[in-house]
Amino acid sequence: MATYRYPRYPAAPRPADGARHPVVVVGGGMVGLTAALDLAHRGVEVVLLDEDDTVSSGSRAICMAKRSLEIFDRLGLGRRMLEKGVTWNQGEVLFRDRTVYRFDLLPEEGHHYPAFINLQQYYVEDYLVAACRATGRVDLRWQHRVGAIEPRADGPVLAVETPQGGYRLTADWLLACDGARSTVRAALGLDFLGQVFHDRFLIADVVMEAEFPPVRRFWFEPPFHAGGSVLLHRQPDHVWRIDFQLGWDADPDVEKDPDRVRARVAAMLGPDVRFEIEWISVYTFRCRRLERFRHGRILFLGDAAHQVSPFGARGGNAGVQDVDNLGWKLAAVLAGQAPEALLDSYDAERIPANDENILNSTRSTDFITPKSAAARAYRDAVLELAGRYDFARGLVNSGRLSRPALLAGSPLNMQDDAAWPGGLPPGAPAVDAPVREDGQEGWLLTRLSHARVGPGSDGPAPFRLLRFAPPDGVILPDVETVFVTPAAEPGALHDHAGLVARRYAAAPGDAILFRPDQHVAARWHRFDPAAVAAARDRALARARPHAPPARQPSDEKGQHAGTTSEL
Amino acid sequence: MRAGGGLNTWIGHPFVTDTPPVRSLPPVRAQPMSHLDTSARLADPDALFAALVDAHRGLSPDASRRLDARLVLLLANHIGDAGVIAEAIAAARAAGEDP
Repeated sequence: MATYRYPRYPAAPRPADGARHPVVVVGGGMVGLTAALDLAHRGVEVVLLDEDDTVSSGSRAICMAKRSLEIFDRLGLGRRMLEKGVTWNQGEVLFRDRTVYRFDLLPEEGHHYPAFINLQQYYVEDYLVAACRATGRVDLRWQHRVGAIEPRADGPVLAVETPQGGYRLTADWLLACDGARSTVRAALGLDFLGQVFHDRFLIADVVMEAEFPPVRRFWFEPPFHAGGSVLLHRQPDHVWRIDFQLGWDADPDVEKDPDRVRARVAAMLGPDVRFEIEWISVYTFRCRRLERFRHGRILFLGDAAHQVSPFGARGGNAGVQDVDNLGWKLAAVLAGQAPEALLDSYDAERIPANDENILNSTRSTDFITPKSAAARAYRDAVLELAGRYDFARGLVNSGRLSRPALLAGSPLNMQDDAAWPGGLPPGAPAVDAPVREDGQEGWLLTRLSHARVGPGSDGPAPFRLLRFAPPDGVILPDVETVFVTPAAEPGALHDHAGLVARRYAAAPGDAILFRPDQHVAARWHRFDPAAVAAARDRALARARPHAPPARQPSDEKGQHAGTTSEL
Repeated sequence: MRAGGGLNTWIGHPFVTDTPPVRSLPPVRAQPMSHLDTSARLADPDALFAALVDAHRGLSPDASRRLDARLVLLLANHIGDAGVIAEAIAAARAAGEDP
């Protein structure tokens, strides 16, 4: 009984040899499709090559974080994902036969999207394919496999194989989104930096009617799976993800035997629960990245650039943030709005972001799979204490869940020139809040999105200035101004709950400039059109009269301390 | 609850909470930083030694090791100063090496 019917996309016909395209995406997985859709929304024509003929085989990256949902909202898919997905806020950690503690993410009111949903990757890709087609700007070429790549200064030449024979094409820009076994990476001979973990895990997706609540459950050494850990997550369609730690000595072929998996699941669920197995996978993982993500005209995104363990949902969500970071920059370069040097900031911003993911993921893995007798003793000691003492719960690490990157040290940021009582410093992604516009209920982030009318209607890289002031008729040439006021006024967002002002720590007269990916570029207590223009130039890498002011390392550390949360 | 990053902090964003996060420790340590105090501070050293050894009575080597780990974690949390704990780790490690 399959809960999902895989589409079969027909092979694209073999095109004429030797064509040149502004952007070619290699890999039609979640990251590649999101990149194609993002660029199409910015008015860019994209060719996407994928060697397969369908969506993700298996549910794979199921935990979608709030920031990813906000990015997909901008691309017109957020509501659909939210409606199909399972929203969850609660978790439970168990050790042997006891509950150690339960937690609730206690989401604040006044956000469009929840902290997390679970949704099978095949649904996400299915929606993305339909959305890419609807733009009319994405040429989806299924069963087109990249055979060889010849890097050139003005863009690589690709040899592509199809069922009807091969052809060559040239890409002005190539986005490598072809996963952990990236063909593009192999062709360029690039190595990963990082480590391999000597452990194996088994994923079983089982279909059952049991109405357990949507709680993330994590067991350390449960009685039904001696010596290992087990993770349970609920997905849509009555599908449940169960993740068993097997140990390094496990034989992957033996462990994939459905009868053996059925016995493991039955031991966990008990004799009264009827279930069917839908998907089985045995995997190992790595925490590592490429030294650089930009190699001239070739840019690496998602698993092709960096890989983490699954604990913390930092794989797929990082890939979506890679796209969010690169899309507007590439569109701005293609439109002649920014120099190619802007693309270097993809490395400057996404390498630290992914290092944070790798650090968190590595630490989670070290807790879940202790590497020495001492590590195991401390791990077990933490779990023994956590049942009684709050302080020890902060030490339990069954995955620190994905949070958006803060881009604190980015060269594109304009540092504050005055003190701010909190709020969002330059580099931080925008935070949502409820607003009312012309009497209609809405969300701040929707108002800070591009393409409010349709794909491409908003230009490649729209910057927006949020002014906490009544509309004064001042129009800036390259920046859309959005006014926000505490009382209803024509032409302004009505901050009826006061949450915009509170969350941005903004007072009347303040102004905040947002980049096209909704990260803060700069903020001021006083509106000055010249300062806005300078900040926009800086965020487009147009002018760098000075190096960014020296940051205090202690500040940066302080911002990151304790920012991960147990999930 | 960890200082500044407790479970009541909105998961989706590190900076923003409608209610201030619960802080059990001051967010920034006062200067100058305190250091590990290795002067003799125990009123009854023999009693302390006996209490530590007694705590392990009847435990297997593994259980004994976990007891020590629990003890270290409780004391480390009580101290609550990462700098002092780092000095203690370095001092403990150095004292076990050949002179």
